Amino acid sequence: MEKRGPCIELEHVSKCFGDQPVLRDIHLTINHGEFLTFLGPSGCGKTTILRLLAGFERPSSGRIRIGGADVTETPPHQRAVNTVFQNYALFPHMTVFDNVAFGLRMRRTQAKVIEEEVFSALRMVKMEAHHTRRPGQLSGGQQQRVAIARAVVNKPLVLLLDEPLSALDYKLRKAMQIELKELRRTLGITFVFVTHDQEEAFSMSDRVAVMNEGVIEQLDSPSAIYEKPKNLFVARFVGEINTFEGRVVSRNGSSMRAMVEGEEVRLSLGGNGNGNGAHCAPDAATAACAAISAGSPIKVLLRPEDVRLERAAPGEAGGLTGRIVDTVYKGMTIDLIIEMSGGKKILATEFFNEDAPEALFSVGERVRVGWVEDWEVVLPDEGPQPL
Amino acid sequence: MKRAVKSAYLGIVTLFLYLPLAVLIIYSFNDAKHVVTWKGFTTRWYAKLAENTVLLDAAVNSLLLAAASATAAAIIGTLAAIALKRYRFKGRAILSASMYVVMMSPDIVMGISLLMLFVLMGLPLGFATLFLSHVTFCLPFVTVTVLARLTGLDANLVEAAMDLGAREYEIFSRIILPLAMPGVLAGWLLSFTLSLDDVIISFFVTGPTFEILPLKIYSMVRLGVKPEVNALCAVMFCVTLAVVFVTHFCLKERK
Amino acid sequence: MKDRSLFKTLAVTLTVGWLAVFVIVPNLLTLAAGFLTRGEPEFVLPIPTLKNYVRLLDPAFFEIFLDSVRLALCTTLLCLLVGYPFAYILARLSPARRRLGLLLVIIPFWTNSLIRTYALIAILNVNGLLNAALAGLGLISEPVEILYTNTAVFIGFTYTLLPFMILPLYASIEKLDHRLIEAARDLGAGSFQTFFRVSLPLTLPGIIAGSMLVFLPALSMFYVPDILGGAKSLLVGNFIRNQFLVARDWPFGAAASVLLTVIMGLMLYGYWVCQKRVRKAEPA
Repeated sequence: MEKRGPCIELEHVSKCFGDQPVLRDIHLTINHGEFLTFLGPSGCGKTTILRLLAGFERPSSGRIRIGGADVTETPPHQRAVNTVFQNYALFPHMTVFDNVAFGLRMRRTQAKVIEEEVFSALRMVKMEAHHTRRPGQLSGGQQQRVAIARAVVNKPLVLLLDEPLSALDYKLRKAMQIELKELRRTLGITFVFVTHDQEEAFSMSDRVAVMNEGVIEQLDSPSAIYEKPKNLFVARFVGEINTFEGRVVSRNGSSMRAMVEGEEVRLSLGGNGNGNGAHCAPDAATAACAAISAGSPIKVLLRPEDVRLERAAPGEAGGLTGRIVDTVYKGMTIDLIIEMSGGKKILATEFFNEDAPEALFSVGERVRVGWVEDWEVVLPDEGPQPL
Repeated sequence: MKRAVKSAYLGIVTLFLYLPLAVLIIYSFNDAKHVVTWKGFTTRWYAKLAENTVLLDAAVNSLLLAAASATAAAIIGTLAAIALKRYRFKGRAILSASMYVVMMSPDIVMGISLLMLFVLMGLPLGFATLFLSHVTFCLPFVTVTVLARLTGLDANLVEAAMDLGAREYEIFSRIILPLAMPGVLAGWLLSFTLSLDDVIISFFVTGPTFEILPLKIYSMVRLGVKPEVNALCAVMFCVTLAVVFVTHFCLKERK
Repeated sequence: MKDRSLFKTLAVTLTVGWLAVFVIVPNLLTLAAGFLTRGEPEFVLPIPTLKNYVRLLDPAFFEIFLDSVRLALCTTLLCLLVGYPFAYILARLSPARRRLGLLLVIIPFWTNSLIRTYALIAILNVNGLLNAALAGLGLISEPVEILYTNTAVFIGFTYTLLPFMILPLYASIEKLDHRLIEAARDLGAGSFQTFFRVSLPLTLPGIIAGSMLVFLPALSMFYVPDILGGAKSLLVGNFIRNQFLVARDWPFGAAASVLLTVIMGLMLYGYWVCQKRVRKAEPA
């Protein structure tokens, strides 16, 4: 099997349904053995990309290459790709064994080989004991595993998974995520996953493509997306984030002073050499970033866990101050809701430290809001954003 | 009070529908040749029926014709349903419209138009013309029944089959057909009954070489009531009863 | 996908082909024949003429046509009056009873109409059940001749075609959203008004469908007047049959058939229009 070069290439792929554009100029490459997730809200087009890869839809423009070969015109039954459907789509009139064997039978594999392969696949998903059952007799989780076995037994180049865990309950979903990662280690094939659950995407993927309205907003590793979101949509979609409005006072290379919440603060802009430094997205938005100068409106983004609070004595001025209006105990962490002097509410998350109860903040206390230098993200203000 | 009136109404109308048939069946056991009064229980008319080779031959012919037509109609009708549901093709509107035309057309219009076709084709009237006609008017009923079944099918199943490498014929034979089977069977039974029941269309396209039962009965009843005919009708009614019950359970089970 | 599948091609060709040959072509032939001339012994000569359609207006045919239409209309009306309440009550029963009720209607529906017509002879006969019942109730002093009259034909049609009215009516009434009736009541409409302003218009497609399934056969089912009406009754169906098998005037018979088809077409159009209106009223 030719494993050199990229596994999947989407070249300027667009898709319209009628005159409704669903995907706009999708251009990306997926490598062999990679686990890539398309993440986004409903209607963003992530399932459409999957269907294009599987062959159930044809792109309105652009080419699709799998394993180096142009498959844009190839029908689904001839592609080296297998899909795990959201509702499993197991054949109700066939046993588990026959379901899993289906793909092999379509390729006229010998009966003996089929038996070996099917049982091997079923063992991998721990369903070999149920091979005579019918889908109607299985639970959701079991059906899911059979669906996975049915797909992987054909040793495809790519495994496509369309929100396969969304119908399962929380605990089962967590367990299946671990099993999927295990499976991926064992098989070493490329996984393309679709989900709207950010946590799920982050826990399993090598790279995540955050999508919105047919466009890929950011394609990066989970940590890069979380800590260095390219724009407001990505920042808001992935985890909680606090957004401050500000205006630049002066800029000196990668550092600047800006007015935020009525206070002048020092902000860092651009990579400063130490890995997790705050930065402004390096590629497309670089021009916009470079344009940031005195007087530019900006947005300053801060993750709740990056907020650092200090008690502020009443009357003590200086820095961003606010008052704690609510605390939410979450077990491992505590969420603190702070109302700033300007009326804005922000969220801070702190680890709950049983050994130091005096460090606990209580409602009504005045605090000074700060952050670790460089952990903030500065983005040019793109104007009013849809929520 | 209102409930009783409603039930009574239902009861009366049902009675109206079944009374003549009940009378028919009762009289088939009446030990009298022409008189309508009860003269005693007998099964001799059934015995006479069993000896009437002309009628029996016609009955067998009808059953054969019905079975053959139903089978052909089931095959073609199922294929039509699948074509309508899954494929896009040039004659799609024609297919759909024709089905409608057949279902709605009065039998007599169908009968004479088919007669003209066969005469034009130079086809001698007999089993062949009967067969072709029966298949034609049974087709739409199979298609409608199977289509209803197909609409309930999970669309993902076909995609899953494609994804796993199945070609069109394999999708049909391994996925669609097994799951649509109750509809196909119901369609077969429907066609079987329709074929047995047909009088008008058969009237126009039949020939001397192949006598079927309804037409034989027709020629007999024009001469008035006859006890053997009573027995025969009673038997045919029971056959219909059986078929309706089987169809009913066929469609019910796989819900 | 440019997916050339042999199966697909076969399926499409077979089905479209069959229907083209055995449905489209015959109907076109009928249409054409109406415009041609009769011949001996070829049945039809390729000489175009409008004579056949003109003859339809001839009293000889036209009276028959009017008689038939009158009878068919009466049948349809009676079936509607009897069938609508039946279907309505049936649709309101509990699911188990509804299924039973439907089954009871379906059985005569599938029973050979010939047999059912024949069964009426014993009832309508001079010494048949009906006369016996009427005499028994003291309503008549001597037996009434019902058989071999138009009345018998009328009873025959109604009896045979009642299930054909009930089933489409039932299908339409069952789809009626009960909440609409409740809404009407809530807004102050009485039972009568609710029926005429809400239920009736919304079940109109069912009424038309049922009427089609009764009216058209009532015009064309020639064996009913044959068996029950004796020699006196001549309806459109008998007429067409005679043209084809006795008088051998195929073009004329074809013209009469086309007339029937046109009536059918008009009724179908009415049905389609009604169906669209009802569907527009339903939420998307």
